[in-house]
Amino acid sequence: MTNTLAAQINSLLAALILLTAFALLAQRKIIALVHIFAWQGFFLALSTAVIGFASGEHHLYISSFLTLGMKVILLPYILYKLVHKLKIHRDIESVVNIPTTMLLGIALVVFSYHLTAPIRELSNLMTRSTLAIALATVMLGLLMMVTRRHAVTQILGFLAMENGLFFAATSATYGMPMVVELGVALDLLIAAFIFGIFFFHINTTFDSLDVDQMAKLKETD
Amino acid sequence: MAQELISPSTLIIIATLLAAASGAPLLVPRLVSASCGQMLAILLMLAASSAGVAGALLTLASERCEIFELAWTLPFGPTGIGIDSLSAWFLLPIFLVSGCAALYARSYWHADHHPTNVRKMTFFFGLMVASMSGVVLARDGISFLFAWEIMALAAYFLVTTEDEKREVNEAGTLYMITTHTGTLGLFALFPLLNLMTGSWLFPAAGSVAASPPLATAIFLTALFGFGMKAGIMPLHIWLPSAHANAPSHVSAAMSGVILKVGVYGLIRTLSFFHAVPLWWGAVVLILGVVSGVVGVVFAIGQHDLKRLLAYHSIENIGIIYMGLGVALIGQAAGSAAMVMLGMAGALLHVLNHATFKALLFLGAGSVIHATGTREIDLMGGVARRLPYTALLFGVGAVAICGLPPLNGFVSELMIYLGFFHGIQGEGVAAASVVLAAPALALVGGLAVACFVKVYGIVFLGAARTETHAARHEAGWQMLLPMTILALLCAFVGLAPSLVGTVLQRAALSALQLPVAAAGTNLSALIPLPMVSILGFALLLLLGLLAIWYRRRLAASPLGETVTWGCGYQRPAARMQYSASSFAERLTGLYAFLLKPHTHPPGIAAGIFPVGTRFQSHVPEAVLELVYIPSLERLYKRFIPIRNLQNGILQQYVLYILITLVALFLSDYL
Repeated sequence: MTNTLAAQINSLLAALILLTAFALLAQRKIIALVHIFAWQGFFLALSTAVIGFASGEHHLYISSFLTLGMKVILLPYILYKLVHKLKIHRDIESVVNIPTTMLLGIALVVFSYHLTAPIRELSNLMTRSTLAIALATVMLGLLMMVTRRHAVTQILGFLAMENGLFFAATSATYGMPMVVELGVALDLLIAAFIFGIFFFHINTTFDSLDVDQMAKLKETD
Repeated sequence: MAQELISPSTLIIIATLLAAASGAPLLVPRLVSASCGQMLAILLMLAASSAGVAGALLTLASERCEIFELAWTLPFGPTGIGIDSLSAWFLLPIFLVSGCAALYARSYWHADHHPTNVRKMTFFFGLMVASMSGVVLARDGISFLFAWEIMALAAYFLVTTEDEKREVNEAGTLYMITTHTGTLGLFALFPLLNLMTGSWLFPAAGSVAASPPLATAIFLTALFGFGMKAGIMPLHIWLPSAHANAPSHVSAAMSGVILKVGVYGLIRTLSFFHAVPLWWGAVVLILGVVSGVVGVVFAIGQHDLKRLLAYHSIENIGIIYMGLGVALIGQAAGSAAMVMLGMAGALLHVLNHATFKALLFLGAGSVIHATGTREIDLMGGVARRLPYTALLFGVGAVAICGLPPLNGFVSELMIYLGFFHGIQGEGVAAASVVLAAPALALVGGLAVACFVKVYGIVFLGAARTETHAARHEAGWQMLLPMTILALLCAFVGLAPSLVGTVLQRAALSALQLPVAAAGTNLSALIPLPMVSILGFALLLLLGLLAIWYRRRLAASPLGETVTWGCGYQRPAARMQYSASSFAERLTGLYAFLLKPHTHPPGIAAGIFPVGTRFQSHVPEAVLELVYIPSLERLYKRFIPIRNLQNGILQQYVLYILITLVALFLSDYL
């Protein structure tokens, strides 16, 4: 496999990641959101493996397996269980309607491309063109957190953002040092536990998973 | 030079580490019982204290200055640890008072009686002592701030030892807010200094010019940051409640030493500069005068024994600032005598105040322990049950009033002499000093009035209430530290010439003399041997008077009545002069400052009198009338901004997104 082919496959996978990011923005059903998130993780793992193969940085295989284990299997499984246990089906009406969100998302993608243009000029890595998508994924994850009101979608937005960061690391520098990646994986696991507790408490306190309810916690003067 | 066994700086570092570790065993409750751990902590603290005092004395005696630079991995360049005469002078009270206070705690705060908080208290006490020593040893801004913050936090946990009480928590919170506001000043100070010198290490004494505006900014931030800790008048608000609500030996250490660490910071900062402008000195002097006078006036109005002593701390810090102001004015006016006398007076008063104020707080602790209250008006006749405590408290009271033959007199005499040298000068320097001298006299007079009140109401007379009658004399662990402190007061007061040379070294390392007058001697400026002779003569006279009085007393018939019975037929103990009635005239005179709350007794409408009550209370006027209203106004003004924090999670994330995009854009533009 030549480097150009690897770069092309990588670009395709990047496009799929961006697609899933937009799908996350658009989808209302929570179970479907979890599925899309798992797909995004899968593309990410695949892309990491391809980059690892083409660049000869073999530690990327480990990252790829970690991603597969964590973001495709473990976290979606935990979320899936949670959604079933708490009997959640649909998201609560989002703050901004979906077409507007999509338009905002497109603006963010354009902005990311614009922003990373100078880096594309300077870098000579084969993954340089996907950095913009990585940055866009981070911003779309943030956007998802801003526009959705359900606790589970908040978490999914956060995890999507983390996917974007991971993708940015592989695109920009062929991955972070192994220690950092292991640390991040552990952090994610712990985050998942904390989210579980967080869901449970919001649900029992407010009888709802609408994070707007948390505004009640604010001290009033 | 003879081979020495161990260098003074090593001794001091060992002492610091020992102090820091002293409370650590108590943190493992499974291994060490509270009582046993407290004993161990006291032994370690006593060892630390003796090593520290020995190290400080050796440094002062050998007049050397050691500075170590350590490379460390923080991105601030090398860190410095050093000891010179000035540091050693401040280490003396730090280790002395904390050793005494630690031993005192064994009887005052015995582990068996306070099982819930003794572990926390003992641990933080050791940590506080170590961090104070660290502040004094630090030679760069970063390690100074580290030590400073540890000290502030340790002191917070000590103030809130009894954190189950609401009052204590409030005092702790107020302390926490003010100390961090002060630290904010220091966070500005050290970067400014870095900007001037280009290094985080402290510059050598007198190496920085005081004329540029940056130097003025440094001076002002130091005045604010260190003034907050020292408790100088408009910034003193935390001090009364914190001192009153901490356990007595902690109050002794806080008032005796923590405030002094604030003074140390100011002196250290000032020592960097040469050619200080006149107004610096004038500002310090004015702050000192305000603190001194207003502090003692507030003290007179207090009914809580420890609050009263706390206000006296403010007064004494005022006296120290006056000395410092005289020295700075002397530096600006080129008078070596003023620099020497002012600085020596200020430094000696630092040591003196540490000894006698610690003595008074420990004495107050014994009284409170015995009577179970802090209210002066509920006590009375304590001297009969606690004769030794009464005697030792009396020594402290005489010392704090600045009366011969004790130590307070010597340091105040130096400051007075500094004033008189200043008057011989001309211009603004002389004028400001002329106005300050009577203020110091006023402070002295009012302090005497205040301690006559305290001693008269608490120790003399008869017990006012049965429930708060003193029960038992303090244990030896409480009396021994007090005796040591009292002996020190007497030693400095009676043999000041022994302290003189050492004091001169410390003063010289703090401030540069004007160039023309190098080699001025403290002993030439103040006749210290004469002070000793007069002191001994006074003691002799007092002794003779006492013998004569006893003889006369033995010859005359004895009866028992209530003191100050005012000629009633059947005086009862409750009819004695109370603290409020004794101080009424003076609080009335200063009502414009104190704003006392008085609830006069109601007069019955009918023919026959009915029961009524009178209440008066002197609040912390600066806090209640200045700070709280202005903070409330500020709070109201900023309510619109608080809408930004509305509790909606998405908006918070939106802020992050907007910030992120804005940062990207700002880089792009």
